[in-house]
Amino acid sequence: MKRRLALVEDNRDNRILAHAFLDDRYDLDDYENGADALAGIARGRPDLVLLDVSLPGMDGVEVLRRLRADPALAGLPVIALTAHAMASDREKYLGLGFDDYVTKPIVDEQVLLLAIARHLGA
Amino acid sequence: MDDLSIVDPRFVERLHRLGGTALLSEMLSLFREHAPQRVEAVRDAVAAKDWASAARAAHTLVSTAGSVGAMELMQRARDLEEAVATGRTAEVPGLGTRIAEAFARVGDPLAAAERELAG
Repeated sequence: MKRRLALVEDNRDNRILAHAFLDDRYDLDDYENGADALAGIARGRPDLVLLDVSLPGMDGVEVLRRLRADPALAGLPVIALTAHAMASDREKYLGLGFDDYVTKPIVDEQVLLLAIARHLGA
Repeated sequence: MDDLSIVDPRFVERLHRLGGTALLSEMLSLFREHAPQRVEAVRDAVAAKDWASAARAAHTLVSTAGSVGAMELMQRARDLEEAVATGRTAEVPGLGTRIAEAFARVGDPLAAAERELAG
């Protein structure tokens, strides 16, 4: 059975792209904003979360904080997806408690696939 | 100034490899629908000297441009976002113009790449 991933991403083009990369290996649940993601993740219990940092309204950092504050979800691997350019961002997001960090646009999809595999322990 | 490609064909080829002509056309139509709106949003925000909104619009444009491999446009959007983030707001109007220029250059090579792959 395929492992289940939550994809939290407000841009439709990025969601389509993520599906193109991942659909043959994983089942993806899409969420367009943080509030829907928190509700859906609590219900659906995915194995891992791909979380866009720059969501409108509640941003990805706040979504992460709330996941970590929930004892039932605190251990869920969460990979930050960001289009930010700064070199210091990686340390910043890992410091905030993300398990990994993948920059958009995804130039080489293997980077994303490897990050997912690493944190699924598979 | 640098040797950024207008369109990196690897992105377009990858879309075609992953999802054939259907995925490629879908992504290009999304780009053609969204990129002009976002370029315009940057321009309007710059005209209003609303740097935060300009940076937000540019950030969205980074993703939109990057997903089809519009590398120059993506980098120009990043430049503007970074200028706002680091307080170099005097540079923002000039960077807004460069975004519009990069956008004006991207349509033809994207269409050419699409034609080539669609056969």
